[in-house]
Amino acid sequence: MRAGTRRRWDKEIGKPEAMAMTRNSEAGSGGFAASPCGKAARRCENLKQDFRESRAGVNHASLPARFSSLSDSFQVGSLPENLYMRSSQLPQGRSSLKASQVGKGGLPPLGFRYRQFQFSRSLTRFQQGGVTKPPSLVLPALLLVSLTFFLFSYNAGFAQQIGEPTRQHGVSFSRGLYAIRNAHIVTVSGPDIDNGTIVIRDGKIEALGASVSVPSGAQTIDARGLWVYPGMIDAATSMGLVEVGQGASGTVDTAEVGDLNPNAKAITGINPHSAHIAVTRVDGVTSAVSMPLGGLISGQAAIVNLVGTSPLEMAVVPYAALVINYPRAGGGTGGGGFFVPDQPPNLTEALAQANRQLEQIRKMLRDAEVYGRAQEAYAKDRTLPRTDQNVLLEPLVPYVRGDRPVIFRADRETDIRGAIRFAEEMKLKPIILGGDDAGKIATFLKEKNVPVILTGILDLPSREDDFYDALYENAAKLQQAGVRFCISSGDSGANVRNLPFYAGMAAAFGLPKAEALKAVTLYPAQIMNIADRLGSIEAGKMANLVVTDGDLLETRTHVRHLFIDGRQIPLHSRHTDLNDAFKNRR
Amino acid sequence: MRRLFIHLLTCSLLAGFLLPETFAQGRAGTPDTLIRNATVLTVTRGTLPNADLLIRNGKIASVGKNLNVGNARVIDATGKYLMPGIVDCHSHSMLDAINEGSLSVTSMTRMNDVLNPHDVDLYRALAGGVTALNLLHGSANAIGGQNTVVKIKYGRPVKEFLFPGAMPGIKFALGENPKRSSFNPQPGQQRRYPATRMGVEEVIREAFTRARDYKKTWDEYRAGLARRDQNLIPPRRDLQLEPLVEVMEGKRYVHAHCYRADEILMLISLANEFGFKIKTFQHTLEGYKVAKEIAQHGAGASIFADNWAYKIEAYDAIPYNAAIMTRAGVNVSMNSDSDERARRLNIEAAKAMRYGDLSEEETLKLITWNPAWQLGIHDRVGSIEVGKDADLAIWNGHPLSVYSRVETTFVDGEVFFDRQKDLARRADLLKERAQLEQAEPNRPPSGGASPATPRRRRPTNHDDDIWEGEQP
Repeated sequence: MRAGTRRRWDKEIGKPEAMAMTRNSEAGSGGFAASPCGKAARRCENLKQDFRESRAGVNHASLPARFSSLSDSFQVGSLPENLYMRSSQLPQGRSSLKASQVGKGGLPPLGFRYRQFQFSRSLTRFQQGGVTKPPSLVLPALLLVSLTFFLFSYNAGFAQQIGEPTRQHGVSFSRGLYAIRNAHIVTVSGPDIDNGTIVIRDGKIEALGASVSVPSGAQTIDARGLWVYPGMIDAATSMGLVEVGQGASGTVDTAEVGDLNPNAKAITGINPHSAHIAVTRVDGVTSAVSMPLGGLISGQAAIVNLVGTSPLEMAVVPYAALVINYPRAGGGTGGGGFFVPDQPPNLTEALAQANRQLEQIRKMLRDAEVYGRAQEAYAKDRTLPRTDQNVLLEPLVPYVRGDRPVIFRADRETDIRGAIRFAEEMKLKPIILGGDDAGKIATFLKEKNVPVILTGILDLPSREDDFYDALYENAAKLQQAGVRFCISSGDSGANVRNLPFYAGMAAAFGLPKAEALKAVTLYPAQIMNIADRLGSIEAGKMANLVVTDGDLLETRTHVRHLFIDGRQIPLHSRHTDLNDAFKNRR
Repeated sequence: MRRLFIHLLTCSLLAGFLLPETFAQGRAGTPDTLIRNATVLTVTRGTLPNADLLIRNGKIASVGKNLNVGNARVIDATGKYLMPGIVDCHSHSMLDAINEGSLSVTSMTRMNDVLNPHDVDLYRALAGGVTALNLLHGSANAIGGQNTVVKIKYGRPVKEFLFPGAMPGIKFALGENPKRSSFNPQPGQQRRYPATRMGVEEVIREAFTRARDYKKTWDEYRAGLARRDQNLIPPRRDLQLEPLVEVMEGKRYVHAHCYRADEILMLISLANEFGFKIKTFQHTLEGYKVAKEIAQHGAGASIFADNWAYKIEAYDAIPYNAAIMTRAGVNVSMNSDSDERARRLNIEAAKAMRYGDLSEEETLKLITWNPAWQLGIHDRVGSIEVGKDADLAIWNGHPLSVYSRVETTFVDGEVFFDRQKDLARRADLLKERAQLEQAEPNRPPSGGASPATPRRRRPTNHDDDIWEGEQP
C-alpha cells in the first residue's frame, strides 16, 4: 500500500502535470519568487564548499571569515514561505496533484506552521527595517551593546567566568611530527601491539607497529608503561550548545522555537570556547556528536573534534545526521527537561497526539522529497520551471534520499518499532537513539539491521517492575544478538567526560571488556560513518589518541598525553586551573 | 540453650503477622553466617586477603583466617571482595514529600513522617552495596526539616528502617535554593523572604535568636523547678524552635546545603556566633576554596564527585574537591542526592583517585567511615570491625573498579540483596507479569477512561534536590 503510493508519487513528479504544479504555484504565490533566493543558495553552496574543504584540510585560515557570511545567507523570512506553504497545501492522499489545489498559495493551514511562519515574517520585518533604514535608536543601542561587551571581556579574568580562558584556547595547537614510543597500543580494530611506536604526521597516524622507526625531527614521547587508545567518541551530546542549563539561559542553544526545525544546525551553535570542551577531552573523549534537542525534528547534528577556535576547525562532519524525536505517547522524548507540563490526560488522547505529531513529520519529509525532485529536475533541464529555494526543506533532501542517517530518539519498545516502521515507509536510514528497551527487541533490531546509540546505561529503569540491571545489561543483550550499537553518555556536555564509566558499567553486566571499549570508540565511528577517519588506531586515520596509565574505561586511570587531529593538547581545563589555584591554599 | 530461647521468643513474636516476602534469611537468633575466603576491605584496618568473617546475631563476631565454621551457613567468597555497606549521606529516597516550601524556617517538619518503605529504588540501592541512607529535607528553606537516618531493610515495616542511635539532624540550605531564584511566583503570589544571600543569613540568625530566648525561658523554668519555686507556669512548647535549641545544645546535627565558598564562611561565622557546630556541609561545591576554614570549624563535607555546571552556582565545582578537602583535614563523603547515583557510589568515590590521587583507603572511606561519622553512626557501621553491625556487601571484584558489581548485600547480618537469587526469580516474575497483563482488570479498556500514560525516563545526572518541590 505504502509502496504503491510512493511509486505513483515517483511517476507523477516527472510528469508535465507535476511540473505544472510547480509553475502554477509559483505564479500563485506572486512576488515571492525573489532573486535573493538564488544569491542565498549560492552562499549556502559556498558554505558547503567551505566545509568540504575543511574536511579535506584545505585553506583553514580563510574559513572563519567566510563562515561569518553565514548570517547573511539566512534571511530566514525572505526565503521559505512560498514553496513550503505550497507544499503544505498538497492534498492529503497524494494520489493526485492538481494545480488548482496547490496554486492557492497564501497562509499555512496548521498551527505549527503558522507559528514558524509568523516567526519568519517578524524576522523579515526586523531585517528589512534594520538593513534598509535603521531606526534612530539602533546606533546608541549598538554602542551600548559593544560597551557591555567591552566591560564583560574586561572582567573576564575573574573566577566565575563563562567559557574557557585563553590559556587553553585562542592559541592553535599546531600539527607536527610526533612519535609515541614504547607504548602498549590498543588499536581496537586489530590486535594490541606491545612495546610499539606510533608516528603522527600532519594530523594523521602515519605508521604504527613494534618495529617502526622514529623519523628524524620527530618530537618523541616515551610511553613506557603507558597505554595508547583511540580517543573516545560520544555519539549523542549537545556539546557546545549549552554552558549552564539553569540560571543562564543566554548560554542555552539546544532547542529552537517550534516543532520542525531541520535547518537548525548544531555546527552553527557550538561554542568552541565552552569550558566543557577542554574538561571533556582531558578525560579522553576526543570527539562528540553534538545535536539539537527540541521539538519533533530537532535539527542537524554535527560531529566535532574537541579542539579548535571555530566550529569549522572542530568539524569532522558538519551536517552528520538529522535528529528526530520520535513522538512518544505521553510525551517526554525530547531533551527539554525532566518535567514537561503537556502530559495528556489519558492514553487514548496521548496516542492520538503522538499520531498527529508523526503526521507532521511525515508531511514535512514528503514535502522535502517533492522539493528535492523538483530541484533535481530543474538542474537537468533549465527549461523547466525553477523552484524557489526553501531553507526548511533544502536541508532535508539528503536525508529523505537516504544519503545521510536520521537519528530517531526512541526508548520504549513501541516507539523503537514505530520509528523503524516509519523509516522504512519513508525510505530513511535510521539510527535509534536512547534505546532503553532495545535489549528486549534485539532480534528485531538485528533483522532490520538498525544501529542503536544507547544513552540510558546509567538511567534508572523506568518501570517499577523492571529488573534492577535492565539498563546496565542492555548493551550486552544487543551485542549477543549481533545488533550494531554504541554507548553514549547522552549528556548535554558537562558530564560527557563520564563516557568511559557508562561503558564500564555495561561491562560489569555482561558486555565483554573489548566490546565495551569498541562501544565508545570504533562502534560510534561506524554508526556515524566516520570509521574511515576515526575510532581505531590505524595508519591513515586521524590522530586522535589518548595515552593513559591504565585501562581506558577504569575510573582510577589517568590520561597522560592527548592528541586530537594530530595536535598535542595540553592537559589543562577549567577544572585543572581551579585545582592548581586552590590546592595549596593554606 | 539461651539462643534457643531467643529463637523461640522471636518466632512467637513473628507468628502474629505475615512476613513480607524478602530475601531475608532470618533475624537475630538465626544461625551464624560465615563469609569465607574473601579479600576483606576493612577500611580502618587495612586489607585482609583470604580472610573469613563470621556474622552472629546481626553483628560482626570475628574476622580472620580459617575461622571455625561451627554450624554456620557458609558463603564462599573466594576471589571476591567484602566491604562495609555504603552509607549515603544525602538521599531523598523513600520520601513521599521532600520540601515544605511555604516557610523559610520549617524545623518542625520531620522526614520521619513521610517514609515509604515500598520504594523500589531502595532495592536498587541495595544492589549497589548501599545499606544506610541519610534522608534529608529538600533545600528550599534556609532552615528545613528534620532528617532521618535509615538502614535499607527493604520489605520490612517502616519502623525497622530507623537507624537506632543515629544522631538527630536538620537540613539547612544556603544560597540560590532558599532564595528561590529559579522559581517564579504564580500571579497573585507574594515572593517569599529571603531573596538574597543577605536575607538567608538573617533568616537563620532571626530563628536562632528566637531559639536562644526560648531556651532561656525553659532554662529559667527548669531552674525554678529545681529550686521548688511555687506557682511556676510551664512555657508553651514551640515545635519550630525546639530542634534549634537541640542544635545549640549539641544534640542535633546540622546538614547544610551550600555551593559557594562565601555561603560556607557565612554559616561558619553564624554558627560561631550562636555557639553551635555545623556537622556537614552538603554539596560544598566550592569547599576546596575554603577547605582550611571548614577543617578549623570541624565540619565534614558531603559532596558530589564531579557534578558541575548544572547551574551558575555549580560552575566552579571541580572533581578535585574531595582530594583538596581531604588533604586539608576535612572529613569528606561522596553522596548521591539521587536514587540513580546511589546505585554506583563506588564509581563516584573512585573518581577521587582519578582526580587528585587519593589512596585506595582514603577513597573507600568517602563512602563508608566518613559518612558514618557525619551521621554519628560510626560506632555501628562504616568499617569492618568486630562488634560492629554486619552491614556488608560482597563484590565480584574490587569495589573501586568500574567493572565490579555487587553479589550480596547484608543489613544486620541478613541478606537483603542477592544477585543469584534475583536472577533465579526472573523467569517466574516475567510469567507473573504476563498473567497479570491478561487478567481482566488490566486489559486495555474497550471504553471509558484509559490508563494513565507511562512515566518518562529517569535520567542520570538528575538531582532530586534540585528538582524538589516540582515533583508531582
